[in-house]
Amino acid sequence: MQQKKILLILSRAPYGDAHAKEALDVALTAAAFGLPVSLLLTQDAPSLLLSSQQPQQIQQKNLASICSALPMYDIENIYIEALAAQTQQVTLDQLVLPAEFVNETDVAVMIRNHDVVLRF
Amino acid sequence: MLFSILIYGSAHNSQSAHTAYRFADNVLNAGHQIHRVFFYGDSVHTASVLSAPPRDEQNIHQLWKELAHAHKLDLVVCIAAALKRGVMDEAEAKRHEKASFNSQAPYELSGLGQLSEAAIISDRLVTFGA
Repeated sequence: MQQKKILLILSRAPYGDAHAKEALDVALTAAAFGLPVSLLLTQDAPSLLLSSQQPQQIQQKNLASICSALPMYDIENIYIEALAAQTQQVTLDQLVLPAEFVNETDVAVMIRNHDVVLRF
Repeated sequence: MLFSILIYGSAHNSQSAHTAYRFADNVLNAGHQIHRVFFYGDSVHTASVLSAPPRDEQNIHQLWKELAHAHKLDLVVCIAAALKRGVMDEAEAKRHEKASFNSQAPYELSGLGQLSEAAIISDRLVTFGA
């Protein structure tokens, strides 16, 4: 069976709706199927990875702790759109796992280089 | 070409459910095949047999059901997304000790693995309503 590369693009803030959680569920399942998964966080999504988040205060499951388990599923290609990070004042040392900043040109290349692109 | 379709939008609050239906209908009429239609997020409400829109409005549940029967489509509803939104078939209702159920064939509750498999098998996976 041909191996397809999957790119998940998240653009929403983590707790305003169910998209971030449902995107992570797709990422983990696809990885369990042996598919190479990349994650790109744009717009309001970079705060998903902040280690300082305290969603328990609004009785929500901490999505950052799910994210910190991603490398165990061989999901290590985690990208953040630099402009979005800058807007939200998110820096790489504040995150629960290693990620890489990319610019708009990188994003275009990334979309071309993946077989399946899913937006959340 | 072999297509799969992934829908996020709710049946009656998002145009994406109907756009996805029209896309599927046209894909089939153009001679292509659809490997699977996967309902995720709020689109799982499409599987509820209790949906009863006014007669002069579209019945998305019924449209997909008829298309599925006509073309033997595989309509898969994400089970985790469905259960938490109160969409379940008879077997799940029993398992969760619920008094009733609201989903049945051709809609089938299954896991996200079916989405990964569809992504692997299909030439194109097209999403609606992200």
